[in-house]
Amino acid sequence: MRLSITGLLIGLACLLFVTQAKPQTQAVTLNVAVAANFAQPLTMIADSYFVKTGHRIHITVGSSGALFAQIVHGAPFDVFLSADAKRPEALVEQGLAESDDVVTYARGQLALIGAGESGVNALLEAADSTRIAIADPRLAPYGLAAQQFLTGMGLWEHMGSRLIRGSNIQQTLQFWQTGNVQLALIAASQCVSYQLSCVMIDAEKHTDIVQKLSVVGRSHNKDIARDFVSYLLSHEVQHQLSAMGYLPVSPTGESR
Amino acid sequence: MDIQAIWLTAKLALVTTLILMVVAVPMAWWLSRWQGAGKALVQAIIALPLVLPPTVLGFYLLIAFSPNNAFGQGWQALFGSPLAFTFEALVIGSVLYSLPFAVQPLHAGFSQLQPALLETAAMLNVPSTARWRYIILPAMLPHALIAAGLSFAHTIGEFGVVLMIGGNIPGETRVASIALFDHVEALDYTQAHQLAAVLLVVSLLLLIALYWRQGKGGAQWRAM
Repeated sequence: MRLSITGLLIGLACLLFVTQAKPQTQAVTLNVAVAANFAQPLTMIADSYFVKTGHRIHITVGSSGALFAQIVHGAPFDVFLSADAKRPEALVEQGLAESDDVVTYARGQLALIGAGESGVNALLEAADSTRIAIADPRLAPYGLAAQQFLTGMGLWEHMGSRLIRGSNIQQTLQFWQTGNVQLALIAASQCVSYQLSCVMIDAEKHTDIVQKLSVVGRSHNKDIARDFVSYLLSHEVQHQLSAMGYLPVSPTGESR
Repeated sequence: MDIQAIWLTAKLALVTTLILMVVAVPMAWWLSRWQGAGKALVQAIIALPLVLPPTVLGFYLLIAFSPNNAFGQGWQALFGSPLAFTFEALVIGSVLYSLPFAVQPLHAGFSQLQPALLETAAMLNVPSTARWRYIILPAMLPHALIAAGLSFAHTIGEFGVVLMIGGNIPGETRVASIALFDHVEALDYTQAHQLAAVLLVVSLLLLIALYWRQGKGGAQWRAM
């Protein structure tokens, strides 16, 4: 939260700076709001985009819900990378983005951390005694996927208060890292970012984790924002993403 | 409506307040009489939750509660289950978080007690139980009410600490402020409005009751 507010202030300052500037050929700073699970890859992508074009990307990390609320209330972001499909689409419904500007940029992968060699079986063995951290299914698409997966395993009903809900996928991992839970269902991208040995969860076991983005309607740098989006969807970047724990999407931004 | 979350919040505030009153009375009494070199340090430590971001406390508690650390280990050995993400964890967090709200008004009260009065009573050989019964307790009652009221209200208002050590378990750690945060994040503004209104009204009524009591010749408003 603190991070987002700082980011918002810096974003405001940047916007003031940018709006005073000059024709679009010059380098600008794009303000990009990103859901926690994609923050690490975005940093890399932003660096290579800067090298390529000279345009800087200023990154604000938060939960999709909080970032969405900030945009609705006027936060000066140019692009919003959500962890789900619902919120970018909601921006269109509210007239804050054009429907053509909403595209799928990545498909997430669910992973289990803490299982060691027994893999997914660790869940079955431990379901009666161990606490498992997941992201809140109501807030985070990774949480919803985790719920579907656990339901499919026949474990959801029995977990009760041994199911610990993080408010986003980052907090879910943090519960595990601090040693307060033995198992956690997190994003595969986190396993890559933090070099953790995870067990991948079969994508068939839950509905697709579709991550969509939106160019924000009131952006003053829409052309460059759209250029950044097409870079994000380019084969080059999507190829990198598959090494970072995401399933690729096609260049049009549709999943599969 | 989030009856479960509201009930849990009330339960947490009540348990926290009861524990705080037991802990804070001797602490405040001792502090008001002690003039040792370390007094400023002790006072500063007790007052820390007033200025620290709750997330700092939440972070340290999350680390401390972990079975990887001595405190969390000891708890697990004693009670057989890990501490983080339980109601007990929230109580420990709340007691620490609301400690200054209980200690400061009581400390102010004990400090205002006339030493001459107590000395005279001692000189007249009034037994110490009678001294407490007839001199100290009546003078302290308004301060105790404020301490208890503020502890209760402040615990209702707790958010950052719970967010970090709660784990959002319905009926166990999902208090009203967390449920509200969830509704807003999930874009469910109808439920958010209802819960926010309940919290606002309850907190306002609590403070009105406290101020009203104070206006009737109670203690000075020393807290905070």
